[in-house]
Order: sequence, then structure tokens, then C-alpha cells
Amino acid sequence: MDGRDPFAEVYGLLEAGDEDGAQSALDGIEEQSAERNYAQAQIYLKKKWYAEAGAQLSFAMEKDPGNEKYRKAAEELGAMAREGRKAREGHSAAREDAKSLAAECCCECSCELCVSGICEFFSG
Amino acid sequence: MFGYVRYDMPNLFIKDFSLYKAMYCGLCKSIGASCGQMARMGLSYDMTFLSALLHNMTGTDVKIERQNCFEHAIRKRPIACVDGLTEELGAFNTLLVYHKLSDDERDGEKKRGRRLWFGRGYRRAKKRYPALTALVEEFMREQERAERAEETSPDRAADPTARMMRDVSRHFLGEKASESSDELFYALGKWVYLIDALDDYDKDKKKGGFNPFVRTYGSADKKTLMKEHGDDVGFLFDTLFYSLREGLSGVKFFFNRDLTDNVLLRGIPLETMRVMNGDAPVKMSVRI
Repeated sequence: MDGRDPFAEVYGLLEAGDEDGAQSALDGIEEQSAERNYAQAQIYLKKKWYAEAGAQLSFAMEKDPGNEKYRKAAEELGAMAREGRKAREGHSAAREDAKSLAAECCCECSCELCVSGICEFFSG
Repeated sequence: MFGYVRYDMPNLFIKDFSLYKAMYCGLCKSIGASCGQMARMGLSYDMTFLSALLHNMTGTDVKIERQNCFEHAIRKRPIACVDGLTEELGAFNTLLVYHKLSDDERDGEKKRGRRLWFGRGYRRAKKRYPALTALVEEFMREQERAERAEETSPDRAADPTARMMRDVSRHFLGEKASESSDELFYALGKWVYLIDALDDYDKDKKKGGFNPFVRTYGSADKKTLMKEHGDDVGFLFDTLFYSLREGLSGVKFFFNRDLTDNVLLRGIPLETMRVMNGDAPVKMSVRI
């Protein structure tokens, strides 16, 4: 060992936007450490492979449970998913509200738009 | 691949609904202009949405005129005029339909007749737009390779289609392409691939066709998949919605974006919930 960080090249290439280069550099490292999983997760995050990145961060934390850097990265990924989940679940709830609003609207008015548009949509 | 991009009707302004309908008809005419009348049968809401998005992002104004078409021969209706962007998108639509049918045929489905129906349109698209055709075909080959690979996952399997959408957006946006537009279109392409795969889970499980969810999780059916691995599947789509939102926030729009925001921020998450819950598709047509 010459004392150099074997992952510095991977992070450098990733910083420069060269994901394929970073992957090749990582493939050249034999060490099967938690840092390797973390570095792999960083490459996957750049590629927007979030599920794969999450799995790698879990491996890293299993191998080195006290590592703050790994924990923080996993938390950030979890926060992204929670933010996205709001879009999925929030709009579903809003749509249910809109459905009941349309139903109420039909009871109170019988404008052509309501009858031919909204009601037909929900009854279809 | 087609038929999942939908708007959220209760939250769609009537002006945007009218614009969408006009663009749908305009795209139909554009397919006729670039690929011939037979190719018009491949028209989809997905490509109409892409047309609305790219017109806005490239700053190409949509001119709407009252026109006739073969389906509305007597009463004229507002239709978006054919322009260069829509014609090329029409060709993109035809290329995708043709490849989708070829792919289904390779998987043992009886799609030969339908594929031949689009053969002439495909050849016209290929001749008129060689750069676009080369791009699509390169990614189709990559998609095939990804689906044959030993190691797979939903992220990996969706990557070629997602990258195709990213590169197609670069092709259309030119100098207006950015990191944000890359992120937006990558997420859109990934969603289109994954939602189709999730929806086809039971069919692919039964017939043995490639499906990244079947290969990764192996549950007996979609209902069981959602019961056993619902959190993982949810995580996949939730991070994707995050990415869509992030990309969208950095993109420059030239005109009103209510229509495309409705589809991206509401329609797509709702369609995802529908497929995850195993509900029937919602009817798209509304008469106003």
C-alpha cells in the first residue's frame, strides 16, 4: 500500500461527470469494504439508479454501522423518496376530494359542462 | 409502452383540455404528413403529451385553426397546425409503434399483421429522419441486451429506454437541452418502461416474457408482489417522482405550463397508484 486513498480516483471521476470511468476505476479495486459499497452507491446515484444505490448504502451501513457519512447518504435518499411519495399519495387523496366535489356539484347544478363532462368521466 | 401518460381530469383547466385535444388531432395529421395515412392508427396520448412538452420547451408556438379531418368530415374543429416538430414527433411515434410490435412478435404474440400495417410508415420515417431513427434503433438494441443480461433490476432494465428519452429530448431541444431537461426526460422514460412492466406483471409471469419485477422479486402475481415488496416498488417510483420534480423545476418553459404540469405532477403519480392498486384504466374521453 502506498498510503493513497484507493477511492479518490473514483470520486474524482464522478465529480468530473465521468460515470463510466468511475465504474471502471471502482471495478479495478479489489477491496470489499463498506467504502466500496458507498462509492458504488455514489455512482448509482449519479446514474439515477436510486433503488440500487439504496441497496449499496444498506450494505455499507451493515459493514460499518457507526459511519456517519453512510448514514447521512441513506437518510438523504430516504428523504427524496418521502418527497416523491407525497406526489403519489397526496394527489390520490386530492382526486378523491375532487370526485366527491363533482358529485356534490351535480346535485346542485345541472349545467351542460358538469353533466356531459365531469359526470361522464367519473361514471366511465 | 403506450397509453399510460394521462392527465388528471378534475384538475385540468378547460383551456388546457381544449389545447390537448387540438394537439392530439394535430399530431394525428402530422403522422399522416410524415409517415402516411396508415401510420395514423398509432396515435397516442403519450406522444401528444410529448408534443405539448417539447413545443413549450423549444418555444415553438402552437397555431390552432378550425379544420376538418376524415373523422370529423362535416363539422370543423380546432386542430393544431402541422409543423416541423410535430411531423418529426409523428415519425418518432411510428418508429416506437413499429418496434413495440416487432418486440411483441419476438415474444410470441400474434402481431405480424399489425406490424406490417405500420411497415410503410416506418420506412418513410426512417428515410426522412435518419438521425432520429438511428438513435431509436441504437437504444432498442441496448434494451434487448439489457433484457438478456444475467444481472438485472428495475433500475438496470429501464436504463436504455430512459436514456433513449433523454437523448431524444436532446435531439429535439438542441441548444435548449440542459442537465434539468436530461433529468426530466430520463425520469419520464424510466417511468414509461417501469409502469408498463408493473402493469404486465401477471401476463409476463404467466407467459415467461421478460419483466424486471418478475426477475427481481419473483412473486406469484402482482397482488402478492405488492403485498411482499410494495415498499421496494413504492421506493422505485417515489424516487422517480422526486427526479421528475427536480428536473421540471430547472427547465425553462416559454409558454403556460399548466397542461404539462398536470400530466407530470398529477396524472403520472395517479396512474402509478392505479397500476400499483391493480385498478382498471380510467376512460380518457370527455365531451365538453
